[in-house]
Amino acid sequence: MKIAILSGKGGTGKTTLSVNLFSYLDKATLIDTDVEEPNSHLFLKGKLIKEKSVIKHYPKVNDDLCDYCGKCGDFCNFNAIIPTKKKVLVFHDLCHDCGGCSLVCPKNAITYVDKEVGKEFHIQVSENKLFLYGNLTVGEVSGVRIIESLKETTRNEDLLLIDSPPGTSCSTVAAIDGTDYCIICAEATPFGLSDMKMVVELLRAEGRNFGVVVNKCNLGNDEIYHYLEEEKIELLEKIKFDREFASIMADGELLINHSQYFRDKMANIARKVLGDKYDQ
Amino acid sequence: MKIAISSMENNEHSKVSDRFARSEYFIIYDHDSLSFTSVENTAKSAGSGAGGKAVKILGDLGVEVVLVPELGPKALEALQAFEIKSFQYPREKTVREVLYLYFEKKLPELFNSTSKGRH
Amino acid sequence: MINEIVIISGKGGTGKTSLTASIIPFFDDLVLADCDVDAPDLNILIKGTIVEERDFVGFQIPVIDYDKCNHCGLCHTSCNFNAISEDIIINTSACEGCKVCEYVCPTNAISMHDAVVGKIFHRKTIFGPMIDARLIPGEESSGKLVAEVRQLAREVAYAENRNTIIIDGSPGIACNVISAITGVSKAIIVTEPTISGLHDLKKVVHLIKMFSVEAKVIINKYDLSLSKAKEIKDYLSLMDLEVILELPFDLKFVESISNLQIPSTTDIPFFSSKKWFDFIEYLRS
Repeated sequence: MKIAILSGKGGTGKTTLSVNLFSYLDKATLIDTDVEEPNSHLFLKGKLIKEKSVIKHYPKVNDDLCDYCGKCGDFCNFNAIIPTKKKVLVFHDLCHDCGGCSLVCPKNAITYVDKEVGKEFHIQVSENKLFLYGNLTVGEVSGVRIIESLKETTRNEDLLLIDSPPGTSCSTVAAIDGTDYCIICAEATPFGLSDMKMVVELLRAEGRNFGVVVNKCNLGNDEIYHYLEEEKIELLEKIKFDREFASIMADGELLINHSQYFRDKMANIARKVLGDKYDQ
Repeated sequence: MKIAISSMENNEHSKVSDRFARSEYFIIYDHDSLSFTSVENTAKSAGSGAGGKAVKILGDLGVEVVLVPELGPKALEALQAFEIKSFQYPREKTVREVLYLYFEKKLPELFNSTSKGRH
Repeated sequence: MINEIVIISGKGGTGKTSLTASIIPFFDDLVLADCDVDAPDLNILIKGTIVEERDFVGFQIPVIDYDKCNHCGLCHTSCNFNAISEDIIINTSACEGCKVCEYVCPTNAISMHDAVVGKIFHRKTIFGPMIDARLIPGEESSGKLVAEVRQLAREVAYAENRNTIIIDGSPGIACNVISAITGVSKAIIVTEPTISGLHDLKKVVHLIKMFSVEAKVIINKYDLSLSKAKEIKDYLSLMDLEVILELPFDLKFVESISNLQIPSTTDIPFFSSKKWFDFIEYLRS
């Protein structure tokens, strides 16, 4: 079973939920697909068993063959290749690696060179628990390639938790692709409700099954519960905000190790979402 | 010789733009014919790489000098590749005013990026 | 010259938008640009009436004329993004708009079309004009969209003789953030004293340094972990960045947002402090 955990807004506690739920379960795999700002690894200790470079390509022009006709520059939609009369400039961080410039070059003067856009890390947390995350190199335009790599690596896992990027951009769409169920982590504030609605719209457009966990439920107002009721969306759990929790998380500790209340909440969510499949 | 100036509007009386790569227009002054033309800067709506694209537009027009408020690292690299010289103007002036400043040799030449951005 | 101030955070949930809103009442020549397009929340607190709407066109997407298509599959094999299936159906989510398919099609069955993926709004609010955008969910919030929001904000600022633009930026470090910080006069980074907050702050600082933007930092909710707050201050000192403000965690702050009030207009004592006014003076300079 593949379960994504997402949030419209950042800071709702999505990563807190992901790492604690993962730690609570006996046997599971977690992937952190928020490759711009991966945080899960700050809470999960284990052994690094693999580190992988995620590669894209960018064009290299052979000056001996090139006659500066300019066709590559005319074709490139991303302004990554700029031919002048004497040389061809390439901005590799703008290159989307589409292969177009090489196709249009009448002199076959273009070949491709590898560039690392980020890394993928595989961590063995315990005998039955594996954790993977990716890290996008600062300045690179898109993390989708790394997300796809993480998903490809874990496509045969029995129980996969996917900590998705916040928001509803193409990175999030890539992360939730192929999942069986989505847990939306929301907060009961006006911003939280507004951003959650965007996620609901996305999930409905994709026809996905989902439920909501309202985190920091004692901050904010009741509007979110009215909305969930009206829209017949499953409310999985409500978790309160406690300064103590914030302190514990601030130090990189897991809440299930310090709070029975929190542990019970994870148990409840696991039971509701996984049904008979969960092991505890 | 052709000189390009980043501009907010499409004539030489307009205020100069406070950006290069995404300026609205470029005013091209042709020093041989002593005339002005304007070119809409299609690089301004580029998703990314506006600096490189803006330079290509000017390079393909045969511009040899650009007058700019600032330059990002890509724009500067592209200008150097096209062998176009760049000079920095003070803001809040008109196109004509900065052109006079250029001819009076009062504008500093740019060799390093003023580094205010890329995409 | 227009004073463009951007407020960003590496991590979400640090209080960036609430703080941006709190700054607004202290400026009377303002244009607001909400560039946090994935979570355009400013207009929840700051309501406005729509003055103008513009379609936002993302990159172009291919459209197939099935009368001309001979199912040779060349587009499918040439696409590096798996955006065209074997049965020649386009997956617009995966498409990056490179035009290779149009180029390789032997029967000219593919043409690239503008895709309207959202709208940009110019609203009139009691604090001045506000520019924000809405995207169809799942669509890419790109550097291009942020650039267009900022461009419209600039046009309105010039037209109405307003000297300050305040930009609510996105969390993260991707091209939408890069597009929000280029060419600004000042950047304010909002962070929080948590392990994730510090981790993400480092990435944002790296980005800021790459683009040579003048930046100051606000540590929000600093008293949730004094030790983490100190760690952040030590790091910033090493990076030669100033912590311009430290705000205590205050339930009243959250309450005011829940009541749809701008925190700095309620009776929260912090906003009458000298520190706050010094901060506003800095922004104005």
